[in-house]
Amino acid sequence: MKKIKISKSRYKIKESPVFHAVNYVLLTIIGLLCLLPFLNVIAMALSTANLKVDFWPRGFTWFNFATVFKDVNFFRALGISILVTAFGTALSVLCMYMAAYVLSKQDFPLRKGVMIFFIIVMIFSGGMVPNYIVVNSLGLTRTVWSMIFPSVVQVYNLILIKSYLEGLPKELEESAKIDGASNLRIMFKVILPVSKPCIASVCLFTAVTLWNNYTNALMYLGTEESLYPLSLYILNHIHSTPDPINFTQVDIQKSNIESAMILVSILPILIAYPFVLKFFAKGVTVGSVKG
Amino acid sequence: MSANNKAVKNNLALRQGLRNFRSGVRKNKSLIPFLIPAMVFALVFSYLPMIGILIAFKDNPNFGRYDVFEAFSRASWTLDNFRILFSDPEILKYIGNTMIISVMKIVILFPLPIILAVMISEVKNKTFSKIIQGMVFLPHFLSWVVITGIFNNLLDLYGPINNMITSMGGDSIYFMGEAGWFRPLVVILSGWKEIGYSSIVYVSAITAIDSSLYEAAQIDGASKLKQIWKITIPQILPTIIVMLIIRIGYLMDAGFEQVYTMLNPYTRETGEIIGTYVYRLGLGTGTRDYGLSTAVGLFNGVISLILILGANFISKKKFGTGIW
Repeated sequence: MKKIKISKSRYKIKESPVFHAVNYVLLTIIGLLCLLPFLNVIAMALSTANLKVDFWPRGFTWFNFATVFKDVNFFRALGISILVTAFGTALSVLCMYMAAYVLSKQDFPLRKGVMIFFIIVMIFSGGMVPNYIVVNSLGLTRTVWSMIFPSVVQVYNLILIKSYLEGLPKELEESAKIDGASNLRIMFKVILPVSKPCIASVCLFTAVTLWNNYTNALMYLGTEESLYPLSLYILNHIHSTPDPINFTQVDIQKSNIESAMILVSILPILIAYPFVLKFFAKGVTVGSVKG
Repeated sequence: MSANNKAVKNNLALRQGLRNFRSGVRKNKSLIPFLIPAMVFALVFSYLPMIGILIAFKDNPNFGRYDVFEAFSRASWTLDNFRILFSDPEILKYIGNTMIISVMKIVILFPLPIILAVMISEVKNKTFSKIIQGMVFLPHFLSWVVITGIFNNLLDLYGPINNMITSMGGDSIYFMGEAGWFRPLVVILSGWKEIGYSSIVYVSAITAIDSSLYEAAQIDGASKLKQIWKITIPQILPTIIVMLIIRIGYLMDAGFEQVYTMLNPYTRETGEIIGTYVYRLGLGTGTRDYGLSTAVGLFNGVISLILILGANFISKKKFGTGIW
């Protein structure tokens, strides 16, 4: 490294200020393009309907938030989403971690075969109707389980955890084995603590996936609206057309209220976002998938 | 003699292999229970439905009236569903929509994360780089429901975009309700969500480039743009090609979650894709045609499978990395 520094000072290196200036300006514009839509949502959520809202509230009102906070169905949907996300993440990551632990053992027989078994899940599906028929035959349609069980197997996460475990030093486990620890003990008391960064990031990504998912609910819940998660509840609100005869204030404010709903629904993601960025900074998720 | 020797050797190798396998089983027997939960979920919710593909070869079974097995056995075997699939102009149109949207996404959106990654890597100020990355990754973590909701307002007749158009003397456009705007909007929204996030893989590829290459170029007096063109791009070309191959592998997936949120009766003509059609036909509110829906889904699934396997094969063979 030192040599390079010397060479730099010896041959005056041409810096390109114009290039960097243009680059910074363009990147700032791109960054703002990603954030400006949020400004519009906030402005809409605080505005009175039928006014041209750009990025600042017009006809400032709390009516939209008040309507959302008075909406019992909205809160029930929020509760369902929290439940599905929390339980679904725990179940999925637990199953994937245990399977990944076994498959990370180089001398496990049928290791390749089991991997292929999971990869097929990733690349081929029976399709919507066969999936529906299975879930329905098990009596799981119109239950919360229909939003959790079909999403337990996340093969990408399995591969991610597996490659992480394969990279851990073998001595960790061997010394625990000499002490006579059982597999269960090694898995959760020895390996799990050192896999924290990987498991935490997988948890976070699974949680975001489950929080955002609406297809399971759409396919399996049917008309059971009392179980709709937040995503589907908001989607139905967006897709609905108000009754033209009994037009109420809530109908007039439709898109403003939707903006308020959207803001409440992305709050958990915004709270989790700094952690997501931290994992990226550590490079936990990038480039860890390989054959 | 040599043939005999070979046989003995083979026999020995086989025995050795068997012994290894048995000792492997013995040593790892206690591990098997930990595999079971994941495998059971995969079997029930992924493999069991694969048997259901047989529905595609049946007359529409009446699952409403009978239980699964009875409905299935009552329906007669037929290839009609596939005959309809390959001749019905409506279905062919939806297959076309799927391909057009997917190809538009690849052609327009694929190069953009590469450009963004190059721009991000040229930033020397760490804090600025982190802030920009934090901004451009964010949309990836939002659901399609939220993004369509946001853009419904942005593109509304009274929204900011139309305000801008009218203030410049143009006529307002009803973006979300015009068939002609559907595909461009699918591409734009998809770009807004994913360009930033897709740049990660290229940023890390650029980080891995040997910095002495740039130093040599700088001494030769090469301009920044020339360095990017002559060093950065060629150095990350393998990554670019692998990503492109994988992306093409997912050609048949035009994005169900996205299109379903954006679609309305006015845009069905240009916007209905295989995924949304399969849903509407098989699980929608109208009369459900399980047989045809399954057949269309199967057609889509088989082509995807071939494309993904092909993509993975090529990418592994030529570049040593694949999807798995």
